[in-house]
Amino acid sequence: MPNLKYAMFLGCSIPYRVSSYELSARKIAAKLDIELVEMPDYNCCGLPLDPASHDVMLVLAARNLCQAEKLGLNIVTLCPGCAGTLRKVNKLLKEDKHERERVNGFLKEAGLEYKGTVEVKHLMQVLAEDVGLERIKEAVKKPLSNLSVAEHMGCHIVRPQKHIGFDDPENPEILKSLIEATGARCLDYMDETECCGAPIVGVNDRIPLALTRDKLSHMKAVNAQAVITVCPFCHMMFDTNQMRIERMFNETYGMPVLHYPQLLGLAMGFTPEELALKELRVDASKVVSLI
Amino acid sequence: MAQLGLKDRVLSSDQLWLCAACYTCVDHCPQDVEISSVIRALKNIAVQEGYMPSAFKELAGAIMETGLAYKIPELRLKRRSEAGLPPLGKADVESIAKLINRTEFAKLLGKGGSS
Repeated sequence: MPNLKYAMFLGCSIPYRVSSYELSARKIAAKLDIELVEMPDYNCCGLPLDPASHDVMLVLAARNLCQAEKLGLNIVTLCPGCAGTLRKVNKLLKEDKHERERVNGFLKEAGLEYKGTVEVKHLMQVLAEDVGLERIKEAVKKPLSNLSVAEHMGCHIVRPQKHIGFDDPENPEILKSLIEATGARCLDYMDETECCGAPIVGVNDRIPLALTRDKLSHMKAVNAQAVITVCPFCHMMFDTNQMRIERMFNETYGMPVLHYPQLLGLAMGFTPEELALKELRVDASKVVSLI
Repeated sequence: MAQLGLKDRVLSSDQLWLCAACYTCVDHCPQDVEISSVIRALKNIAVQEGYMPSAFKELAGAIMETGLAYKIPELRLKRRSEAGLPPLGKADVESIAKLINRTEFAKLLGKGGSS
């Protein structure tokens, strides 16, 4: 079995406003003997500034990779934006000598050098590839067999495929199999791989709210009892913004939105309090009552 | 529009900022064109030419000041420790500023290009 010890890259959005994701992820990681080492000095992955300056994104991402190299540990992230950015930049700098030299020219200014000695994975990838479904199934103490849910994997965890190389973006199966490992049913629904629109919130709110609304209505059409996400931004769209969507479109959803580690945590026997289910904006007590 | 050379119309267009960078276009293009990278390059040029949405200045400011894209309030940090979460890492902001100041972008922030 691979060594399950990683540098924990928390990013910005999760410590800022989604501690329920972090709390539940740390609970299930401990149960699966995944050791998470804190990064004493990390910065934003760089993705938010890519539209303004590609070079700034590159140096910010590379600086984080250097910090993990110093720790001698592969990175795990909870945010697909961070995972995608760090994976892409890591691949670019490993494969493109010219870009590596150019970025190292910047890094030298801060006394750093990128060497290319670590890998980056999202927690879902660690669960699927390093822990494995069998061990996850063994850790399930209360199978969630009364529960039917819809998954929303999001974009950055799988796209673009040639840079990320995880799962199939057109027919994603890994989150589904991880959900089914908890005993819950994972339902198919229309336009399952569509984006939630979160990255353009702030520039335009109506378009992303309409995109998420379409997904919610397709999930409701197949009688999903909850949505399962693995991204702090997708979660914000489905959970935090759900009441806004209900008002804007004059519809009612009341659809609980759980982070995957909360779902797995419930199946492992953790209490809703331990998994911070109370922090969710849409009341999840319906889900708890079905366990 | 970019192919027609309509530079000002492209760079001042709101449409550029409506790309969510979901990368679906990259995965679907039969000619393997990195469409989202083209959009990103256009956004970068727009920023250089002075069309920068104010959100990016705020983001860059927060990163220069704290290392993270948001300034995390003290109350949040206190809640972290109450919830049993480990303390957040503290970024060496001087080293981050040195890196950002080496890029062309620093000039747009009005913070000078040297340190």
